[in-house]
Amino acid sequence: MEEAQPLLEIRDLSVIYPSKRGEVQAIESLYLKVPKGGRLGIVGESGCGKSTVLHSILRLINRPGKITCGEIQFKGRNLLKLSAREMRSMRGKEITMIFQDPQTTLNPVFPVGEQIRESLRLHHIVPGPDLPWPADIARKRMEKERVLQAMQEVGIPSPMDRYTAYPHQFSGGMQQRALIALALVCEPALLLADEPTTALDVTIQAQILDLMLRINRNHNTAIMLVTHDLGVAAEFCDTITVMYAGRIVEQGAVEETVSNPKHPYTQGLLACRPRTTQKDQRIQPIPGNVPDIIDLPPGCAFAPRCPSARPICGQGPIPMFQTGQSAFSRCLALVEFERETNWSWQHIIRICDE
Amino acid sequence: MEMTPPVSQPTNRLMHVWRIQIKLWRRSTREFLQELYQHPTTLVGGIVVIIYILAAIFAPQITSYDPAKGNLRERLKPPAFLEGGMAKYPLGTDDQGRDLLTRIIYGARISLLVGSISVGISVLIGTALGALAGFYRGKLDALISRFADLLMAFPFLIFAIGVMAFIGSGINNLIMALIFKGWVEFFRVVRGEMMSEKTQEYVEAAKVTGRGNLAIIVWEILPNIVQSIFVLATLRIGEMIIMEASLSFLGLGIPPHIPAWGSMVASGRNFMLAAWWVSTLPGITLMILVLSINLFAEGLRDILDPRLKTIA
Repeated sequence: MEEAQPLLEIRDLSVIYPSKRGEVQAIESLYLKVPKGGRLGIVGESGCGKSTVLHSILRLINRPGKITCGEIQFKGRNLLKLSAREMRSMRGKEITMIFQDPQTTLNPVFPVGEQIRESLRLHHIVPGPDLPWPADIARKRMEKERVLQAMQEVGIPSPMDRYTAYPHQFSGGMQQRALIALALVCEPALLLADEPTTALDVTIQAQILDLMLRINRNHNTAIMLVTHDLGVAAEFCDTITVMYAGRIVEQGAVEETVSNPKHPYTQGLLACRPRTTQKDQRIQPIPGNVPDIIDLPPGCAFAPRCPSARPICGQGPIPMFQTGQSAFSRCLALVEFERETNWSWQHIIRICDE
Repeated sequence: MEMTPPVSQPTNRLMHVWRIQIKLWRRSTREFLQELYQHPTTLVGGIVVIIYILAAIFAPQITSYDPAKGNLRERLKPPAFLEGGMAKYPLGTDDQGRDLLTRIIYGARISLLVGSISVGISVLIGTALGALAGFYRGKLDALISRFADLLMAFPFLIFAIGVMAFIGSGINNLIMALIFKGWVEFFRVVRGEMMSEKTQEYVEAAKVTGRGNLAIIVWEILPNIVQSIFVLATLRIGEMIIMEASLSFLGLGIPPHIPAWGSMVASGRNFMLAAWWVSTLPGITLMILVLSINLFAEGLRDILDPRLKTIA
């Protein structure tokens, strides 16, 4: 059950990237909700706009890309209406992000501990006056204490020695732990994770996911996990959103979405996972490629690759259908199955607003 | 799960980040010295430069002569190691009977002063403009870059001669003329580095922690490119010293009463056959200094460049 007011609510968000060949609709009319302490997974192929969602929450879309419409409500405030200064004080303190490649995300020339402390200093987490350099020793000591605690919590062994170490002296897994410490030292309410385990090997992946889960439980930090691995998302998240070509194609609680996917794309993603139960089974790839998003087909963007596509799929915008208690899917095949469903645009919008 | 606080009170090893940066350069001073020891040419270059600096600072203590006052009865005396040389003038005297060694030592003051001040200010201007242009791009970048291209179209010496002819000789004017074109090199390097560094993920990560653009330029990106600025600056000091000597040689730089190597070479030209040392010795001194600076700078680049380094 969701709380009355979700921590983050995205309504009708659209993002475009102008290019020489025309506008790229990176995200089209996206609705999302993240409850306090929730774990939302965004799954999709490369270029489907999943990272763009995270960047637009932080308002860090690289120019010339821009958010054309929509609102992003966070703790009751519309992030898109904040001034640049207010937005800066949001980043890192309330909403923060960890990246795919920890190797390049830490600044190579500063000690890891100092980089974590910088975040504390920036947001004045430790109370007290902001004194100039030689007089701030007491404050620095308190901040360092917090940093060491955070480093210990994310499982960096002997944090005292690691405080002054440089990023290149850390292994990949330790660097990702350090980044998580950096993200969490200010105790944000929302952590955006952009493929945090993709650059790590499988055992470390499991440890990092485990760590994120622990942080989610202990600090009630909501996490948005972007990944192309439906398996990882299914294991980690409580809600899953599947994106395709800038649109949400399927959304819902893990139990409903993963065990009983309605959209052919989600079914395809599940079919192309390697399995351990069946021997010598070939992985089933989804035929074709992600469409050119400058020149999308008018109806369902997945129709050209869809095994059960019909002429009607290419005709107009496809609405979201409610397929379960909390599950939605954007596919006309559902009409076939549940012909009785009395749907209309008003119905769909009402569902999204709920 | 209950958090256990860190085991003991942390020792206060928290120094200002820049102090750490300058002190360590990602490694301890000892490691740096060890590395220096493995590059003997760099070490020799560094030692020679330090000797020049010390000689320039302690010039009045090293020699008891006045560089401007000569003994006209002892003009054009050869160096002590030649026939007819006098022990009290180790490198001989010039056409006004002034001790050549004294003048060479005092000349180091001018060369090092002009070299370091002009490069220092050029670094500041070039880095500031290059960082802004490379980070923000846009119209500002286009404007400064075109101006820089314009300056690059002139050969340095011709440009400096033109400026000096316009604003007149003198040490301040000389430094200004050198800066007027000297900043361009730093601008181009910093701008290029800035453009490539700003796409790095750590910049994005810094934005995510809530840092503003200016803070990112100064505290995140510049520390990453300060090494290349430093190496370039060291190389440019040598070039600026040559420029100063060339201008002084042409009579456009340092006024004649101040001892400068360039003007000393120029004044000795007239008696080249009778007293070769008057021109040659300041020239050799200049050559050794610039050579040492270049050796030092090149070795420094090898030592500091992270791409040439193996992970410790």
